[in-house]
Amino acid sequence: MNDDTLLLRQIHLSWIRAGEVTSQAFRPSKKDAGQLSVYDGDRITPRAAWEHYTGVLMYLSAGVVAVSVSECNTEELPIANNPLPLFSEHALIDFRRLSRKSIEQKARALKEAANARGWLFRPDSVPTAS
Amino acid sequence: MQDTKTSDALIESEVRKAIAEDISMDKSEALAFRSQLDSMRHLEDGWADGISYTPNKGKCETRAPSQAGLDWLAGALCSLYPEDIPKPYLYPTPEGGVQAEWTLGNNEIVFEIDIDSHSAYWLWFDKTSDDDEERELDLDDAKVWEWLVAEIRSKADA
Repeated sequence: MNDDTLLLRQIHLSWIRAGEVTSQAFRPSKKDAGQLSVYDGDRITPRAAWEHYTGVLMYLSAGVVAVSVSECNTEELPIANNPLPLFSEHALIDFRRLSRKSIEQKARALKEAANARGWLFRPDSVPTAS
Repeated sequence: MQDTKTSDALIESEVRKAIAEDISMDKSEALAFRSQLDSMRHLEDGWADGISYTPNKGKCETRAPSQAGLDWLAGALCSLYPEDIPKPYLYPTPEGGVQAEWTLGNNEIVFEIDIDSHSAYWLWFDKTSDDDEERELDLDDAKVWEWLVAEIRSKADA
């Protein structure tokens, strides 16, 4: 993993408005315990990550966007590899120890970076921003 | 009861249909309060859990917004939020609430609404400075809505 590495985030359909991702997609929920799950983009492609997420883990995803390690560094968000059984590419963006205000601000910043980059994968022939 | 394969196929079909609808939706339609809130009505507890989304697969960690809460919010927004100021994006939170977001120039606003207790968390910040403000609000107080409208109007005009 280096500064240019893309961290792939699966997007729930409810967190898309008019084709763009909302900041909720980058705000850890209570169940995430302050750590946001992503795929290490050096180790898996966006399409393969989506296929793994929906086909192996059986989660729902309407597509894949990404933020870079560099963008997380700018927001002073630590990143750690966190391989799991059946999910060796798993990594975490760490929001722990941040105030609610900081979490919202950083989630907004990551959302903007992801939307500027555009969709890296959407199922079927749905158009992408890139 | 549906078997797992049938249930997963239905979910996938719904996802594809909804993606197509979202792509075809223009921004004014997307911002209509009722259509945004109605899009949350099909959610079930566990909707953001992944595997436990499928009913009967275990304990749900995320909550769906309540129908009563969505009805209350739709009514409040339609009666207390004027047509002539920018409407927010609305989306469900895994905690069973609704979050509103506005981007008004350099002003970023997060408004997280507990639709069952009628309370909200407000956060405004300026992207170009360290200026920010956060508040906890009681949405059963009509004066709070007046304050909200004034803030949005002010930030939109800035």
